Amino acid sequence: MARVYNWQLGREMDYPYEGSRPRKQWAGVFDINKCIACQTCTIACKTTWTSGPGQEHMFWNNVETKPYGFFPLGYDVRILDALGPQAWQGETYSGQTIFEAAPSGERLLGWRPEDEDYAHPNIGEDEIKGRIDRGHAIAIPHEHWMYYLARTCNHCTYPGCLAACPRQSIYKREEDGIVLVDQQRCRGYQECVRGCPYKKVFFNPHTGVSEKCIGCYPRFETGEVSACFAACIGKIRLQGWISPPDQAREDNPIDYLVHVRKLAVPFMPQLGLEPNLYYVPPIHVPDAFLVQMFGPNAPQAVRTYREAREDPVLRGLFCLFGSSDRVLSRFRVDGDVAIGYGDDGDEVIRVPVTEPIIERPATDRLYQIRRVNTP
Amino acid sequence: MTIDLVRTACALALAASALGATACDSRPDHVIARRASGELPRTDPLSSAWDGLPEHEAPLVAQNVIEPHLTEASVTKIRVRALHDGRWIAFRLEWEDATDDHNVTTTVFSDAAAVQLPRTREARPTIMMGNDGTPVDILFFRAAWQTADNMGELYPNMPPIHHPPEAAAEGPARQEMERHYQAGVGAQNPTVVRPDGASVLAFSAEGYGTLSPPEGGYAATGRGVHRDGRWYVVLAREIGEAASSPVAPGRSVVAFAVWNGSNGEVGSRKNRSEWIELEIQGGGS
Ligand code: SF4
Ligand code: SF4
Repeated sequence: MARVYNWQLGREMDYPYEGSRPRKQWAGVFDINKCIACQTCTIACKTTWTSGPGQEHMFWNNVETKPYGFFPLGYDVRILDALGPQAWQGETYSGQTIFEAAPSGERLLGWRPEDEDYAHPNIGEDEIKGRIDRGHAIAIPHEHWMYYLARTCNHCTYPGCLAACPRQSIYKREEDGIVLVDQQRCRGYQECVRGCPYKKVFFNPHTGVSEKCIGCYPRFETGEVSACFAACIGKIRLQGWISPPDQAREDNPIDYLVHVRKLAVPFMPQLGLEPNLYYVPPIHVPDAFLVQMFGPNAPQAVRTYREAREDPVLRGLFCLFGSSDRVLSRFRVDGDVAIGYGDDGDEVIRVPVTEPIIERPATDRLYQIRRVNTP
Repeated sequence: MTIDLVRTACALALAASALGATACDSRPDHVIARRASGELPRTDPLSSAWDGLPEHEAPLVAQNVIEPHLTEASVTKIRVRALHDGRWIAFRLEWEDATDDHNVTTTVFSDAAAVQLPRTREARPTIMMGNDGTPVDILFFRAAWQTADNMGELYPNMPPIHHPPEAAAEGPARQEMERHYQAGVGAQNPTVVRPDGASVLAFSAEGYGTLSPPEGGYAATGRGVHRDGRWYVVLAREIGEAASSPVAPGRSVVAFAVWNGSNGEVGSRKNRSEWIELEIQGGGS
């Protein structure tokens, strides 16, 4: 095993291959607090990429309700359970990653879901943590909680899928960090299905080879955001590029949220893959759960988020979420206007931070009618 | 001659025994390919042409050199007979496996078998699928490849789903759509786009993880039958240029591998033999 630096763990770790970061890295930030689980993203992906035979069970994008929703069944709790209790010392992970915990004869600690585990993509939907007993409904903060977790492949810096494939059929693109299964080389061994703890590689029983989220690279190559990002009704998603922390740029929206303000945190960073989707964590979830799911910075991220409204830059930046079909690689907040720029530096979008209020008189003088509010 | 008669009698006794479990001391210690007197049973593992041939029994061990490993062998021996007709050679493999796994899901893999040969008769590549500059040829059988309707068998209660390619009329338009909607087909993956739905494919390799269609190619065919808890599989290939072919009359080496799908065996998780001497006889049997 080689030694590579994983900034999400604050330390070096074992990985089967030498570390080499791509020139640029596909990334996204999801504001969990705004997701309404409408599944528009899921369907946008499904109709774009996985409507063929053998893909019936595939959801490269899915949205599950935590704490009881999983797709496939129990994917996160099963790997956390297999790994056992682990610890952080401040922002440094002192536990073991799935690579470091590899059993003898294996490249990593993995498991393969059963066929049935894919049969209930919406299990646990809208279920809250516990039963509402007397008084619970009116007590603030609420005793019980739930949140929606929208997921795609994380196009990890140290992908488990890639590490597990004995044929090196999985590769990470130098130009954008997107991780792909070579459909010509794959022999259907499913080591990637076993190796990805997020279970975002799927086996196609019709063709006999494995398939995964392709980050909508044909769109991304032309500067357009991935289909699930473009379709998001809740405007919870912002897509762009992430830099390693020592090269973070204040005017890069993803860098700003992840590195500068530490407001967006990775999902299960302790597994060691350096996943590249970042979440503004849910605000009403107990710290212990947050830390297990999003690492030690999650509680602080929640506090920053609660104050974001008073912060002119953050307030502006959140207005750029879901504002454009173009990838925003730079942003600026100018007074009451947030401006996003594309890869070539051109202005792509300009949005007001405070929506203008327009008062309309009850009577339309031109048409001589009274206006009626229809609720 | 006397010894051959004993071997023949012994093989006949084995073939007659349903379980084939009778010990036979006079099995040959290497694989012998006789010249077929009639037609070569290239796709019939139960043909009577296999009866009475010398049968080698090779021990198998768990592959635990290359990660990921198989920790314990699930198939510990394989029986091999071989025949050729001067143009093709066929290996008939037989091993015990209680379940016929011929579909692949994430839960279960396909039963499978492989015959490995050096590219040339004199070459001695490493047993781990050869090495750089010293390739091996591999005949690969997967039970799933001879299953006509995997999806229908796996998911009999699946409601009818209209897949986009079905919108196109049968013929070139439909094929074009299928290339778009099935990435493995679009990429011409050799295990997906199989000639005539073949259940045995020809590969070569120069080290583990390099299984690819052979340069120049050689024709291969075969078929497997699962009966009474045992697999009987024939894997056949063209002999090719006699001067260099590892399967032209003379002496070479051969190795075998078997996968038990329901034991999660796939890829490097396999039961494998060592190199075994291969004697290809020139005369008739
Ligand atoms: S999320 Fe899974 S499939 Fe995607 S790159 Fe990471 S390990 Fe691979
Ligand atoms: S489209 Fe957006 S709001 Fe709707 S489920 Fe997906 S991520 Fe959530």
